[in-house]
Amino acid sequence: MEAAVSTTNAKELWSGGDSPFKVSYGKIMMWYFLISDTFTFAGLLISYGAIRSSQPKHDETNPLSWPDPNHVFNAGPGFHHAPLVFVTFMTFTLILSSVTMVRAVQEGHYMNRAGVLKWMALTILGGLVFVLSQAWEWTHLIHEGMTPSSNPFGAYSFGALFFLITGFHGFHVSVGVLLNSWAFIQTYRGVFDRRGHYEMIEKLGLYWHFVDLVWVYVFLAFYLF
Amino acid sequence: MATGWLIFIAIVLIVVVLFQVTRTLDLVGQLRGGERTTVEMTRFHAMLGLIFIALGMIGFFYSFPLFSDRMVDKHSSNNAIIISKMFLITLWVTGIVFVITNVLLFWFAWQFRHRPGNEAVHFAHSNKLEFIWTIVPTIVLTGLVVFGLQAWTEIMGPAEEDATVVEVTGQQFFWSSRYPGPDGKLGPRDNDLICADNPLGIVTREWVEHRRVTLAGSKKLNHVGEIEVLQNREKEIQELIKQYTAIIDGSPNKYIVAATQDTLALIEKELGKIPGKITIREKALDRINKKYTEEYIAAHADEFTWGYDDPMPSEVHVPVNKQAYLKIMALDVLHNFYIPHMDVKMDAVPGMPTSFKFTPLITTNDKRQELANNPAWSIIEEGDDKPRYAKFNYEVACAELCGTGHSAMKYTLVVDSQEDYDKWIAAQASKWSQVAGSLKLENGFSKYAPVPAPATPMATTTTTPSDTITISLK
Amino acid sequence: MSAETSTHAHHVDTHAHGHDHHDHDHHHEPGFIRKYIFSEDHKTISKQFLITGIFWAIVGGLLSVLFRIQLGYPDADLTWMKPFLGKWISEEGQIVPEFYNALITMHGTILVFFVLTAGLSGTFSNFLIPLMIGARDMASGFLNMLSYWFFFLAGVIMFISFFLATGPASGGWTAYPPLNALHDASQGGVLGVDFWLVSMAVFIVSSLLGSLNYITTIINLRTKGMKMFRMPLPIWAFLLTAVIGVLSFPVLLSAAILLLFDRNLGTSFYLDAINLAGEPLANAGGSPILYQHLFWFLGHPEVYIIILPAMGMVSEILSVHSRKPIFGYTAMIYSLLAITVLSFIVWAHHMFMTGMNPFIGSIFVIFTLIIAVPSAIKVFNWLTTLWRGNIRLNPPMLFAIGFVSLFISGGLTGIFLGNSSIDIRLHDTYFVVAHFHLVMGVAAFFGMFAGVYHWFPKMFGRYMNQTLGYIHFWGTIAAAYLIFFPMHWEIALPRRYYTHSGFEAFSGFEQLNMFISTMAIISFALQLLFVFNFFYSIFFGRKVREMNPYGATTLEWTTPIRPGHGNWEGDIPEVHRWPYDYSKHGRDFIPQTEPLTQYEIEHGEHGDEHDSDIIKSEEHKG
Ligand code: HEM
Ligand SMILES: [Cu+2]
Ligand SMILES: [Cu+2]
Repeated sequence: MEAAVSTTNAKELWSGGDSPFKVSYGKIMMWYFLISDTFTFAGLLISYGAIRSSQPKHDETNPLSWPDPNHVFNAGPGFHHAPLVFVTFMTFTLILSSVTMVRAVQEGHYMNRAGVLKWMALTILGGLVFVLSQAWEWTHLIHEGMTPSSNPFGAYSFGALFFLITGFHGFHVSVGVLLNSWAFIQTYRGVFDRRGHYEMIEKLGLYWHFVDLVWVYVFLAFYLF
Repeated sequence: MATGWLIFIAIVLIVVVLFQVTRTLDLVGQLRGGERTTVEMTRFHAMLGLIFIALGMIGFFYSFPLFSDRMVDKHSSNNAIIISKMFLITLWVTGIVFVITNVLLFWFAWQFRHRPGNEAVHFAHSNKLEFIWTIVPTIVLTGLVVFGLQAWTEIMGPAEEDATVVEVTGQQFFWSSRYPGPDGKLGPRDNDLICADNPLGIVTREWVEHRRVTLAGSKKLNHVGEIEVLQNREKEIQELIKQYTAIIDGSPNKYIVAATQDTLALIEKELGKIPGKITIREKALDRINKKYTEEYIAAHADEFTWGYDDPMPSEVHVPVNKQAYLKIMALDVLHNFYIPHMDVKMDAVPGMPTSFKFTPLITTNDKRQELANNPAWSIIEEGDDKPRYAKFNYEVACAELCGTGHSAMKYTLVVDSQEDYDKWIAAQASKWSQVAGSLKLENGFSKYAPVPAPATPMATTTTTPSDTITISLK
Repeated sequence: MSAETSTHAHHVDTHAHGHDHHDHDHHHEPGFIRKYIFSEDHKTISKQFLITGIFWAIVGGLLSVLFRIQLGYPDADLTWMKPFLGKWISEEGQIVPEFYNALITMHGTILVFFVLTAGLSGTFSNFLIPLMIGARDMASGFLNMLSYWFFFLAGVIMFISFFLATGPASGGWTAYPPLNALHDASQGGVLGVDFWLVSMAVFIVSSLLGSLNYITTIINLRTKGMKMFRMPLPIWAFLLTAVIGVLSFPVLLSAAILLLFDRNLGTSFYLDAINLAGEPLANAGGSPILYQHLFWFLGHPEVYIIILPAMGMVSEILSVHSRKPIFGYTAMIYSLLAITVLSFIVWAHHMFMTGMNPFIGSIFVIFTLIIAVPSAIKVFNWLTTLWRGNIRLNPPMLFAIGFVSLFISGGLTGIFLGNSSIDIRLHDTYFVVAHFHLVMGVAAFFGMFAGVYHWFPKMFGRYMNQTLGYIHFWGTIAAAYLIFFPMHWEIALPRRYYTHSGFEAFSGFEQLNMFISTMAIISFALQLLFVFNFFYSIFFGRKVREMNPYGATTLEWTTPIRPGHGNWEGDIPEVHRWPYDYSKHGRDFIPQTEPLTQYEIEHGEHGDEHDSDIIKSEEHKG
């Protein structure tokens, strides 16, 4: 792919005729996109911080104070009174799917179509499980009376921020699942083999890890503190 | 209309002619050879540039004094004096740079224009020069920042202990004000308590009770609450719709049908809005019930008396030469409490009280005397009996876009001498204590009749919810 | 277009530098649709941006004519407009207040985003980046095409909002809540603001697609020898503009999403303790100020997104037409970089009067006035570029000089505004309006005009009519100054006012307002002259016959007169020197493609001694 220019001189790297980072335009673009997406999430999370800091801290006696996550998120499909168990499962799934993604990228480097297919399938599965779990959790919470404009557990803003930010993240995961499925089909049809490289999988990998990373912050914001 | 077309045609014609001329000019230029044309054109336009900058500078120096008293000659408050000084300093600094750089620009274009014998110099950079014009602006700007921040801290710093406190509130599209009564304290406020009779939502036991009754009604007082009124109205309209539909279906007279259809459309529109209004009221009632429990009221018993004596006059008065401290609130959207003469300007933000202070230095009366010497102010305008200056008042405006009536949010500031102010505020206080008296609880409920609100600007303007009631009771 | 356009698609050779990622097949002449509508050729996309930008400029300009009529001729009878504007004209033939607010809102939005962001960056980043750095096209032609079509879609949505029964957004181009968060606080708020927000969201997508492409192309696809410090200044400007866009537009996106939620899902991110016309709303816990922080975190960088490309092009044009290197090339780059960084930490200077902590205000004062330093450096460097040049005053050069003048005049008033204490007096008055129109509005337009006149021959293979260009320039600069300079005298007047007539304090400006409005109408008419010249010359302008009509050093002039998709017919040329070797060694100019001679020192390598040598020798001569 990249013309191998063996040079150690940083100045020459930037002297044109070649990518200074030794990567294709697609990957660079994905990186910059992720930077910009970081700013979108940052905008949302900073708003979260600003609004939360203006609300009363958790206080059993004040029904409008910031709710206790252990109290809000204490159910899963078929079980109750188990604080944060379900979200731990969701987080675990998402992180696992990142691991399988790494494997898929690796297999792509070896040009091993079967390997890519296997690990991509697992990644897609992980993503799907996550999205469905989230759908379950949303339904459950809405059932309990938590909506963007109301919140039986405490401050209204908690519900609004929760649905906004997890929704925006969930949207990212869903897009990721769709893209991964598309890449899976392309792989299956041998498109990347013919192209001679699996860079597409790498790019999607970048995206997937990013979505995973963002989840960590979302998780911290709503479930831990 | 006809003139419009004429003008249009004239413009088109002019453009066509002009264009033909320019095309010819271009062609001639080409025929005569590019180089010669370039030299001549360059000379011509460099000359135009000189004329342009000369005329521009003349215009600048000519027109500035025409308006300068509107720009810097402000001295009615301490803020105005401080800011005018900063403005002048900055004006000198930037003015000099403005003249020098703009003149150089056009002069260079003339001096170094392309012409036979002129050659460009390959002068690509000079550390010395670049150092100079990094360091000099830095020093000058540092100076401006230092002065500026001194002024800023002075204006924005904490208010004095004995400043005159005034609370002003902006809403679409007017201002209102409130003073602490003789107890020196402003009573707390609550948006949910706002109604036509209590336009600022002042919290006292009586107002809480009053609001409960207006929303939910009371058997004891034999009063129907707003929520029920709306519900009744809803049923009434549904009934009407049936009747009207029958008329429309059955009537042979097409005029009657048309008229009925119009009415139908109107009441259907009203119907559409009712559920929303009911929800709003139910929620408000819910919040009030949740918040103002007996314990809560008992715990805040003291605070809830502060509001009894707060005067709400229809204009702001402050004594001269004494600091005034404005507490600025907004009910609906952003506004900005702006007193042009005093250099007072601060956003009014719903849910976030802001504040601003200033010390007025000239009373309204003295200002009128000052203006009497100004010929433009001593004329008597048509249909007036007094000269302009005699009607002068410090005005308050809104300086943050707040909707359709933004440019109509006028309010008045009166700067009194200390004596005048003392008299005025005493009169206000006694007026408003009567109001408070008429509100006290009777048989556990506040007196219900609309409060005789002296000089409340809102009493006339606020529409809902009492409007709804009157309509439905008809 | 004429037959000459038949391009040389066959010559798009992919292997010049092993970096061509076009997976598509170039070996067929594309059909009309692929060639002119869904084209992936950066030059076509650039023209699409330009022409769409011109369309929006006319719309935005017309809106301003309307509200200037209200301000300058409040008693004019506009009943004749009733057939077009319907209920927006009152029975007495006046513009109604709500419509006035909608006009200023739409004027601001359209000019800031559609004309001066998309129309300017979209046009010139697209056109010049590949041509000036020696690339066959953008990194991704497909995303580039999408970028245009998203922009188009954003425009369609905004346009539709004009025809809503309750009218378009009317709460200011900054769309502050709560005014813009409530459905019942203004007519435009009923539905117009939703359209506005969705349109903005689509626009942001377009802008991001464009910016990602520009950055990647500049980083990855420079031709051999095109070091970063050999790039022409417009390219640096486009690069940094794109960087600013990538980092700031997403924040506007989050602000817009939050606002959409508040409007339609009952959330309270920006709302607290609201009582609208006697009705207490349930919203609690939000902050209207939060929106302003998010908005201006984009908003301030946005003004630099607008001005940087203009600065870059002006630097290039000043240098070419004074036959002199741009003065202080490296300083120009570093000041661009400084502006880029600083533009992210000054946003709160738009919020001095929101009741924020005065100490935080002070910090923003300091940063704000620091940003004036790089701006000053640029101005002095431009002036010195002219000094001892051999200046050809053609329309692009005049517009470039006009740009410098306007940027000075408008920039200096920023020093008043940035000093928070003075801003107490100036905030939200016509002084601010004067400031930003001179420094950003008109100046950026001048940069754009300079660019169009200068690169028109490259874009269309024909020249624009010069004489019309001259008239356009003198008319526009005179009108611009006559409109916006006297506006500084209107410090007393608050902006966004339908009328000032209710106040004694604001009286005495009627004549001045009338004068300004007259000038505004004249200057609008003058722009039609440009529009006419532009479209006429595309088809009938004098044909370009030389490859390099200006004697410029940069790569775009090494392409064929009408370059096809792929730009160069043979290999992409290699670059050996910086782009500003004018009047060097007794030669008028030395193209970037010419290798250094044996003893020649490249600029910037040991430039210091070298340049001062020249000065000395010149001084001896003089
Ligand atoms: C010399 C450096 C500059 C300084 C110190 C400066 C300072 C300011 C300040 C403090 C304001 C807020 C005024 C107010 O609302 O009270 C302002 C407004 C504005 N400035 Fe500048 N400015 C500078 C240069 C620029 C440049 C280069 C541009 C654009 C290219 C620009 C565009 C604007 C715009 C668009 C607004 C008004 C936004 C609005 O309220 O609608 N400024 N400037
Ligand atoms: Cu207002
Ligand atoms: Cu700014």
